Amino acid sequence: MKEHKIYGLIENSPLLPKLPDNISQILFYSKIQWKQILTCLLKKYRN
Amino acid sequence: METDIDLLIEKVSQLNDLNNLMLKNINSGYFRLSREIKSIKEAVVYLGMKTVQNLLIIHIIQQLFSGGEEKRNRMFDMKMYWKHVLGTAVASCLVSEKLKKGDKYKLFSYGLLHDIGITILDICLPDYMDKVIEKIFKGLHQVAAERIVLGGITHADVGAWICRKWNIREDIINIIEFHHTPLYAQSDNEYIKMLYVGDVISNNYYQRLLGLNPNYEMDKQIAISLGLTDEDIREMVEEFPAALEQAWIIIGYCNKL
Repeated sequence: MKEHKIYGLIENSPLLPKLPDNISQILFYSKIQWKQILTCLLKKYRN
Repeated sequence: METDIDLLIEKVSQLNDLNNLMLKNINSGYFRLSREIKSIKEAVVYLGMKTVQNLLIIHIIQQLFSGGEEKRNRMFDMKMYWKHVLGTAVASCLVSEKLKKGDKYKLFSYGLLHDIGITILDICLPDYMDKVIEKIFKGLHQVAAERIVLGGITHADVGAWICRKWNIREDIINIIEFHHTPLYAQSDNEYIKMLYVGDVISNNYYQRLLGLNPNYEMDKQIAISLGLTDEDIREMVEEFPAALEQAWIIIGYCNKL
């Protein structure tokens, strides 16, 4: 099914924060992805 | 599972700012804990893993979305929006207390997350958001205004869409997607209905503050299915301003936005 045009506009917006794909892992329990997320967060909070 | 929880605790504890922010909010008094929580580990034990995760997510989202450019001549009032979000969290807790059902801490955190679609729209498509607000000021219901401006979808669809993209936990996606249409939800129904009632109470309160004629009729079928009477709802509407004021002062939630 074709995605709604609003979703395309949001995805192409330069203002959409570029979250790591796996930020959701904060809600799950996978160790490997956790490490990636936390590295990203660490950078964000340190800046 | 235990090892994973330990890992979460360890990693969050290493992020000083996030750790301190979490503990400050948890100990703010709003949660009425019987003693001070000194670590994320204690928070997980006391509030539950899901609630701590939800609170973490909302802090992270606020951080990630707070760096936007200054808005000029906007119809949409972001500060009022965050007040409504806090209002929904508080009102959902009142519903939980009234019914003596559900985990009120979890509901509070769901309340903070439920309108993430509005945050996304405001950041990425501010002109669309302003058109929605224009229509609301003309008397349209928010959902109807959004369907017209956004071509058939609403902030609930946008919020659920972005959370799916981010792989966020399914119960959160459900809360976000169905908070205006709880009867369509396939799971987490009780929580979604309680949040729906909280959302209506909060929305009507803020619409009145804005001098609008609130047009958010509560679906009686949903209230009845939860076991809420008209009297219960009247009492919660009366209790709400004081409960919100208390949360507002204690948490100082919007002051940091």
